[in-house]
Amino acid sequence: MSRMSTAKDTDLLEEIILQKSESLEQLYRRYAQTIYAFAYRRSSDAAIAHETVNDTFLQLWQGKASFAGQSTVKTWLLGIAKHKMLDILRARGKVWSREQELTEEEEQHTPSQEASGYALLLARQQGQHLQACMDQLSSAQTACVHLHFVEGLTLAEIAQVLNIPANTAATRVHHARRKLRECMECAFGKGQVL
Amino acid sequence: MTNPTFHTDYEKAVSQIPAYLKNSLTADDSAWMKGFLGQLQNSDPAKAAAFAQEMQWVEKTQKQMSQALPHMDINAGWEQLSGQLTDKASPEAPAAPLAEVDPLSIMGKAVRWASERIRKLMNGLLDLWRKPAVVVLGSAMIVSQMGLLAAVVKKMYTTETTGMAIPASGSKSAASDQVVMIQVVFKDQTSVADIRKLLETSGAQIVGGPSAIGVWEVQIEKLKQTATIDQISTSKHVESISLP
Repeated sequence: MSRMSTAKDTDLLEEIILQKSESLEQLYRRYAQTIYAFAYRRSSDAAIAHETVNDTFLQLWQGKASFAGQSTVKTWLLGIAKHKMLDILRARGKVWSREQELTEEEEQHTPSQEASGYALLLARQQGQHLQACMDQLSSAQTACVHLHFVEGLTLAEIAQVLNIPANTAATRVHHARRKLRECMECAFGKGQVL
Repeated sequence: MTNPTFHTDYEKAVSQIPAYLKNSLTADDSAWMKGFLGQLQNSDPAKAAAFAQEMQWVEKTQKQMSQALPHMDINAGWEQLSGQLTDKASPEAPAAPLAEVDPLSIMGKAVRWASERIRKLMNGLLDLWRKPAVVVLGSAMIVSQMGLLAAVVKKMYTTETTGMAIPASGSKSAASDQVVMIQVVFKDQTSVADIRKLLETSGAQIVGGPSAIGVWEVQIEKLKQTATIDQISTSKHVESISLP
């Protein structure tokens, strides 16, 4: 295993400041997929997700972002990616409204059983039942769930990435988790969820 | 980094399950989690079983979510990014491409194509007309500025020096072989009205002056040169006259 593949994230960042493209490539190979998946989950657009990855690493290369060491490099990169993605969405006229960023109203929203039942039936046939349940979540909840489950971020880290209070992150994850569980149980029965 | 408020350790542990399973907890949190699980197993086996069930659900959900994720082509992505890095580093980097549009949008493609065509057309027209237009505009400006300058000089002369009307065209516009220039110095007490009266009666015109030493340039008709010079030189208002 080469030195580069075992180098610490923070060491790579220092080398990127010195314009070592090999270090940027190493960091890219470690986190491009993570950023891509995060951006895709929020935008549902492969082109936007791809552009988000590029812009995030371009910002690193141009030295426009400095790592303060108050989080992991992964959390920090996801925070940059979030802003980059919003910039891209704004440029394309696909700005998320503030209402979409807020969660309080969204927590009250429960999809109708008829609609979710039909969607779930289709999803089950296609083997995408979880995706169908994820689609029931709000954009803000989806981001939290993705970071929590897929990336393994703690609630405090999610709060940092999304720039929201930690308790808000906890609330979003709690409601999303409950919805997901109910949605899956609705399709397969309580005993089949596990 | 601020942690959320947890009412119980159980609640905190549940929130940490995904990170625990992903092995992304800090060393301290991971140690706390292991300690909590051991303690729960000993103190409340029923609750420990429920917790284990929760962990299974999270683990399964994590796997399904990860499998459902779209994957990007890392190699192609890096190739594109490294190309951009080179472009940024180059001082003569080509102009940035137009903003990407939704590849699925036919309207987007049409708008992009039309924008590109319009931009090229405008550039072509500019190239075609730029040089002649600059020449014409430049010439027009020079001519107009010269005319304006002449008018300003003439105006300054009439108002600030003599107070007398100077023919709009006449003095120097007459053929040089038909006029003669003389220099006149008037006496200190001579008023502008006196000078005007003298020159009007003698058919002469002031075309310049006075200089720093009070010399005026006066134009007279060649045919009447002798008579005019006699009339001016004998005037009580004239101190001296210099013939050509």
